[in-house]
Amino acid sequence: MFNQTFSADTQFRKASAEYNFGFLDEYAKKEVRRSVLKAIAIPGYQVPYSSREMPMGRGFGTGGLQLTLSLIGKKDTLKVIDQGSDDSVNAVNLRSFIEMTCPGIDTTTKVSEATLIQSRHRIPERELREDQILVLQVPYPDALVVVEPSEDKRKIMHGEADYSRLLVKLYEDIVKFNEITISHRYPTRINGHYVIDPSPIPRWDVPKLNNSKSLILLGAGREKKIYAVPPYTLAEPLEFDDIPFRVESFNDSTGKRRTCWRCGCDHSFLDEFIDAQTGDKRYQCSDSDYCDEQIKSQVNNQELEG
Amino acid sequence: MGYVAIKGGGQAISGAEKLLEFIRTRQGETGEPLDIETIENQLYFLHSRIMSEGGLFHPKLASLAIKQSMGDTLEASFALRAYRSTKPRLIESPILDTSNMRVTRRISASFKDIPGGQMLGASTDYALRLMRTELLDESPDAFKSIAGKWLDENRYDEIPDTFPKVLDALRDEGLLPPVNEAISEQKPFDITREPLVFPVPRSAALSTMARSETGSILALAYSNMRGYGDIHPTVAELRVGYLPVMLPHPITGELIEAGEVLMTECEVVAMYEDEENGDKPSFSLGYGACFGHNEVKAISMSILDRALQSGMKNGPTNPSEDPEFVLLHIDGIDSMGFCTHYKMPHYVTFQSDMDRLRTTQEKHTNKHEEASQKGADNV
Amino acid sequence: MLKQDLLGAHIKAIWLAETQQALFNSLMQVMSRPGRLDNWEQWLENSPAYLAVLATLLDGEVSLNDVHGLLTESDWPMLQAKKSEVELANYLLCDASKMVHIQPSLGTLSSPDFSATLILKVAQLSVKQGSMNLKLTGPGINGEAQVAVSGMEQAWLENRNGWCSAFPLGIDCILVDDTQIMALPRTTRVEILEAVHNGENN
Repeated sequence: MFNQTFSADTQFRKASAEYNFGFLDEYAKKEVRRSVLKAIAIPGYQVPYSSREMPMGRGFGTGGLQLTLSLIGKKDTLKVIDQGSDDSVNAVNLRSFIEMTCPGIDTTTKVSEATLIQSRHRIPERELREDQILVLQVPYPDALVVVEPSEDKRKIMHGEADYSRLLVKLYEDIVKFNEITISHRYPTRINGHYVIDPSPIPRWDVPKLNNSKSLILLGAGREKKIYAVPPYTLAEPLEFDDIPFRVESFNDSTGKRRTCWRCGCDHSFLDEFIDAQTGDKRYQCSDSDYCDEQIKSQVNNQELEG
Repeated sequence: MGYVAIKGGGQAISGAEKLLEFIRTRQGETGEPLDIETIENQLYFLHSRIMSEGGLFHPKLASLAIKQSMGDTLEASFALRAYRSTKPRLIESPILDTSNMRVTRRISASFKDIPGGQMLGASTDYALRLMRTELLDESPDAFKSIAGKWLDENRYDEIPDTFPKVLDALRDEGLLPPVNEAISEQKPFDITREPLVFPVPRSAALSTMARSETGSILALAYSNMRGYGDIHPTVAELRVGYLPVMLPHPITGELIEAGEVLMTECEVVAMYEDEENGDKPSFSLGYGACFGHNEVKAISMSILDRALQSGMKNGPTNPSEDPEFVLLHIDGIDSMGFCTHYKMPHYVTFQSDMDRLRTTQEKHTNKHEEASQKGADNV
Repeated sequence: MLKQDLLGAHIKAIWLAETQQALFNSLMQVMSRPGRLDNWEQWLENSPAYLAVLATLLDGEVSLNDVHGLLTESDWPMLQAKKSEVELANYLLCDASKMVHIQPSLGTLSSPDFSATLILKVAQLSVKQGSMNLKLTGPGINGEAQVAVSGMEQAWLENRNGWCSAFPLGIDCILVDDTQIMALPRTTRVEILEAVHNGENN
């Protein structure tokens, strides 16, 4: 392998011949697969696994990546998103790595075409189907870490479904700020037992975990954990009777729902940014595929009407 | 088959890669590409460090990792570790006996005279850290003659290859507990195949520390040395040398020497503890070992090993005795990866943060307005 | 596996990485959706389905107990799994037509994943009628699911329900007939609707 000469353009992204399909060796894949089955059988429980080093930084989605690489086959169509977008640098980088190490697979930016979706920080707006699998990248897998630093003790608390300290923490928030201040990574109880960190998805996406048609797998590479929300499974954000769980509000000061400047959508999670020219605030769908889809259907409707 | 979704972000990545490659080669016509052998020899300590932190004894690939990462120790170890993780574990060696090490350096701080004698070997310990300005413009001819001259002048075959271990002498005198045969027969924990679920056995702690990042493990060991801990170690023996690796023959099962690895090993002796089971009091031990020549790492590891044993037995009283704290924070690949990831976009979570802050601010304002309203009413 | 490869001998599909990827995906789907039956016939080439399950999941890192001696000696080196006592084994292979008194590992409260997975060989799995009709509810099931199992001692299910009565402790079952596969993770509530005794109406 040392005598090969590559042109300067291609030398970084041509290693597939030297590596196994899916980069990981088959033993590593088997371990991930065994952990996935356990994770499904014990919904919300963080199954420890040995987590191999991937050729990209811990924290860049190596947990999700190991899941994807252990699951993917030549018949799969893969979509990779980061912040809702297929085109963000990290999504491009992960997708290009998977394409390189899994020759023969298809990739797509359309949710509807994908069999396997790896995502960081978002769940697609369009409801997923039973034949699709969502893999979420997880930086911090344990919702209890804010109240208990020792993993040993946290494992006991999880086993006993003892979340009293977490609830106290939420309550203290309410006393202090009159509001639950957790913005993302909202603690969510799965099947009435384990409370999970659902990865840094916004609260907007938390209801999508509940009774989902698709299997949702979560992988934390650095913390070496795999967990799952099986399909048709109860997923409830922690809340109090008088202070309910609330998703992000996109209403303006008059109470009117803001819309996407691009597609006009009034029911999606919006990114806020400042227009460089006018200095005005603008809002745009965070899920770029969904935004494109809305525009397309509007064009189609206009054509029909026209 | 093979339809590929391509979009603009890829251009940015490819541009960044090309720019990095430009930086590596920008010396232009006056430059020479770094030779793999040169890296292994002239960047000897860096090379050692990469093999130990990468957790793979592969001198050639370690050099390549240094070359392609332009000397970034974290990146180079990372590349080596990632390569390693694609390789299946085909065979296991038995526990190797370091008294068979072909020693190039061994010292003891506990005794002036040790069996076999002290051997200073190659060391920077007593070097004067003055700038050797004559190396700024070193003559290649002079450079090439130095090693040959040294070999001519030194009859290295007069020194024995192996030395008895200092610990054995201490053990014979009854100052150390006898070797626990039951423990040495236990199968060591393989951190590359099993996740750390606490509490972990000592073998898991040792292998985690053996591939830890040098600066990280030094920092934690230093906290213990300075007073966040109570080990007060004495280096019984520090040795550097080549350890024969014995592997079972695939057909006969007979142990054969497959090669040797450069290693640094350190054994520290610490003050004795009360023995609960009524055994004779004796010194306690800490053990450190890593690939390559890296004495600071081996010593730090031996101190932390001793500290962790205390923590595992009596409960941690400071960070360096806490297995979770130590073992989950010393891996360079894990920590640098996570540190780096903060540079990635966090638009969605930040949007969510702003939503919470605005809602809380609103409630705050309303509360104050209500309060001032009430105040006004009361007047 | 490597040796046979080098000698050029034919390797059955179930030992190939590509097949195992497909089989695992099916296994993952049936584990996610109790009551779903997948047919593996196209991959089996006359290998028993239980062997295909084991080939997909096992390697040298895990242990197996072949409770009823369903495996042949030559299967073991291919599977690479360690032989282990029933109480400690990660995987148990059982003939569900014969009940035995065993105590599989149920895991611990902090590590419920340290529990056994049972691969139970039955005569026939069906979505229609069989000698034992089951109603399934729980995670993965949209409302309820019904399956029929033939060639399984009812005591297996009764024991299974007992082992799974204190979540998160429990065992997970993978049921196979000649070519089909389904799963009962520990979260599934299994209700026996009717059981026709052996020898009668299959």
